Amino acid sequence: MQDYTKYSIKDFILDESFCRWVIRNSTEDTLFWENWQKQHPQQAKTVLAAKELIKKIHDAHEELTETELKTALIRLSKSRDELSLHKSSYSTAKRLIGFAKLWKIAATVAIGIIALLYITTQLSVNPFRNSTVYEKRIENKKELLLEVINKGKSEMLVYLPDRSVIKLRANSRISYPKIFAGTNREVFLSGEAFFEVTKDPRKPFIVYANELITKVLGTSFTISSYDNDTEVKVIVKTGKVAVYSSEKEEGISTEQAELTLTPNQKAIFNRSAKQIERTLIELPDPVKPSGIKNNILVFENTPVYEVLDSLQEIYGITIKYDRALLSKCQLTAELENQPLYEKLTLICKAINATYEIKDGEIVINGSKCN
Amino acid sequence: MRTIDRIPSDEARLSQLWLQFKNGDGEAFDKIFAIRYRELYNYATRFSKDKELIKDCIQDLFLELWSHRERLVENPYVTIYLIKALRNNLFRKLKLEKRLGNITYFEEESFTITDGVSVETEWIAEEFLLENEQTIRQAIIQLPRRQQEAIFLKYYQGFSNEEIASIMDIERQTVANFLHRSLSNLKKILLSISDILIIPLLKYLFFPL
Repeated sequence: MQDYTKYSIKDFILDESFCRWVIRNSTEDTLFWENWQKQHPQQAKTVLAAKELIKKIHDAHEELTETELKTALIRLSKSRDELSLHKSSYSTAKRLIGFAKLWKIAATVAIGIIALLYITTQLSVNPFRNSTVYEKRIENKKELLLEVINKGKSEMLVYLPDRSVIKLRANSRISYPKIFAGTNREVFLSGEAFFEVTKDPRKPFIVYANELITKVLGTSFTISSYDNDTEVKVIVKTGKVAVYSSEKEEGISTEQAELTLTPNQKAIFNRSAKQIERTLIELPDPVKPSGIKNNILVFENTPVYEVLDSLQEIYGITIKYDRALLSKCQLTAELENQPLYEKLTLICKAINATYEIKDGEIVINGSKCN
Repeated sequence: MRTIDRIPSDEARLSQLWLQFKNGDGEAFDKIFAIRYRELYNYATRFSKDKELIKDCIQDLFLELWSHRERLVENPYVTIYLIKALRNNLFRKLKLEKRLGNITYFEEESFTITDGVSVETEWIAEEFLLENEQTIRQAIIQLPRRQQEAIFLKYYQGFSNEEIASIMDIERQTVANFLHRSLSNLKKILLSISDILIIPLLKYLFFPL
């Protein structure tokens, strides 16, 4: 942290955060600087002058009139139309799956051996070449799909027609229709992505990720489903989602009904055993603020079931225990910001119990206290 | 999940429009143009005083983008992408040196105002509250071109030094130096053209900072 108390006008003008605040006015910077000003009234004059000067420099760069802007817009629109008239033949989107598929067939037929060689070499370098569950699914789809591929190292934002937002992680691809016309909003994923789904109870949002299908009405969650991984994972951040395997959808297997997931729960689908398991994520997040300053929970001779109940509420995770058995157990402890599992270990140690994670819930096994 | 908001808030909207535009949506394309035209135009005035040339240059740039939309990157930082593209085109058209050559460096380094104010004076609060926009505008155009550009990107666009470095194709530290020097120069110029030079000095005696 900079020592802004000794800053001169010039120092402020050159400061990145200060500039961002004056010019872009983002909430984060505004919060910081307004607060800082309140705490340091002796710098008020300097801050005001620096702010004023930045604003003046900003305004001094304005060269364009409103009319000029409008004229430019009309001009562009016109020239674009002319351009499109000449080239209308290829004005459709490039990443159309239907198109890509057609090209693949044509290439195979026309240049048999060469194409075969090409595919073999590609197979070793490009993981996407393999005909995966993902590819089979989109090939069976009648309507044209748009596809976004993230070959980069950083996350990529994808905006869907229903205004849902997807953060597509590295080496992942997602396909979706230009408009969600049917009764469901269906998207296809290979790789990993975080979904923030727009609420629409009339049109469930369905993600096909390898053999696992996730169905939601409006919520946020992550799906990890790389083609080479042996497992498919679904992690819920908010709301409620249902997962089931494609075998159930096709009626091959009726054994496994669908699983419902709530926040901090995770479904893992084992691709060889074809089993879905429900468990908890490694570091559960509080789903609601504890309402206590600095997140410190202080307990003094508190019945342990009260402690467990408050943790259950904070993390939105069911904690099962024998209430009669633990009724006399008391706890004196300060629980700070440590992860949930560390808190549980501490509590269990104090009352001589153990805990386990079973089917997305926490089960406490203890004995009577005196 | 929270990230620091360094990117202007309309950038998310721009990247959405960009995706639509890449898929052939002309309306989305026009919107990008409408949102960023003003900034691109004002930026270009740092390189040329010929307003018609600037307007043509931006039109050409956008038509180029439209006809090559299928080959463009999927998800750029749209504002910086546009500024960089325009910068390239302007440099090509005006036949300007792109990288810092020895000659331009010399020009920037030896830039001084010969009015006797040679010692770096501290900025004083009162004097700037008196300066009007017109005087500042006059002062800015007297700066060397690269300093003008840095000042524009910093105080008109609000870019970070990192972002400015990527646009101007120079080191981050060089950006910091540029800005530092531009502000010192700006102050000297303001003092030399200001006809109320004496007032701030008097004020300085009464309101020492």
